[in-house]
Amino acid sequence: MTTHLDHEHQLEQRLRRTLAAVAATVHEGPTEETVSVPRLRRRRGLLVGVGVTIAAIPLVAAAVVRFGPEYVDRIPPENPIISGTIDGERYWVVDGRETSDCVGSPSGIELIAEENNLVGQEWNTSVVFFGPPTKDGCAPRGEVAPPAYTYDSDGGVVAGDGMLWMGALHPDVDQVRVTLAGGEPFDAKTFEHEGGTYYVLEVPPGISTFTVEYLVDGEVVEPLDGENDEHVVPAD
Amino acid sequence: MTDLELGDSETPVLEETYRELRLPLLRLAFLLTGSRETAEDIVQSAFASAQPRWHRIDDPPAYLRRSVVNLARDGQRQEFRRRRLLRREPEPVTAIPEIDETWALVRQLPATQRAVVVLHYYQDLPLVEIGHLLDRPASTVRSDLRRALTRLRKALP
Repeated sequence: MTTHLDHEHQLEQRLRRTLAAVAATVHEGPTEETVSVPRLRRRRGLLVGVGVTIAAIPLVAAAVVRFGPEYVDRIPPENPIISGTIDGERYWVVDGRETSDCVGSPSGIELIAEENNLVGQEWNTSVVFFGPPTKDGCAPRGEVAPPAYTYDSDGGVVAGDGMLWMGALHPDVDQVRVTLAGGEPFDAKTFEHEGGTYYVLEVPPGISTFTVEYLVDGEVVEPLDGENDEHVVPAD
Repeated sequence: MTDLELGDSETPVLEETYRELRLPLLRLAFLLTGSRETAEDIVQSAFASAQPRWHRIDDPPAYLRRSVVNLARDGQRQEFRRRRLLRREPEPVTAIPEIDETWALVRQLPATQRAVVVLHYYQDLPLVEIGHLLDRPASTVRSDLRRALTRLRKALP
């Protein structure tokens, strides 16, 4: 007979095995002779005087996409689609940069917040496009996901004490209705870029919650299971 | 003697600690964040912040571990938005289905619950010590752990 305590013990053992096995996948990188120049450039100043060169680690993290080895060489970026300021922080929206993994996929739009992208650092930007990403993190090609997927094609970036929220719309979505902290609803301005429709919303400091609804012909599209039209600005 | 000279005289000790603890700290940071790049940044920052006060730190391993835990928590906002904007299924990391499945579920735990699970089952820290590290009462940490285990138990086959 298996008891509750047996189950508890099995779960704990499973957790121990899992964490040890996953941790063991993290190895020391190459020796200092093979450290890449850009990585040293990025780290300069951090460990001055320590006398230890920083070894590179293979970048295979699942959640990190398009945060590749390129480095910020110019701020403001060239040819922004949108330029703005929120809470004193400058930001720009540019055409999503093509990566070698995503050749031929729609590029979407890319948000660059100045506070996260100082010259010499790695780019720390956010890309949005409509539809479920491929396994390589690229925008989908071919079949179009249903309008409800618009709720899965938006997201936010903290900027200063405010937030920038942006999204990519399904072709049938013709209205983006925003309500900031229970105030009067208004429509977000949308814009076209390379065949797609997008919006960027500034959520000012002091707003802790807001809703973004997507409409087709005046009817609100119901969010997908697990998605929500209500959003919370992350607290410090 | 200047601070700089003091620092220089301590450098070999710091170097030694760096060589000894970098990998264990990287592993801890990876378990806390799920990102190898972020883990690397965190460990770099932990050593960088320790360097100026190195000769005043009584227990470097404990100091660095606390620093890594705090930096991982600070990084949650950024991880939030990265995941939010570019959702991807977690990639297998070990090619062992049971491990990868469990790891994917651990990664989905709320940040504090995940930190408690990692510190308790990977670092073998008692709940009281975890409470000190996370600035939470031990009773709250116990609740965090119970909620995490309940959640994992429901999700696992």
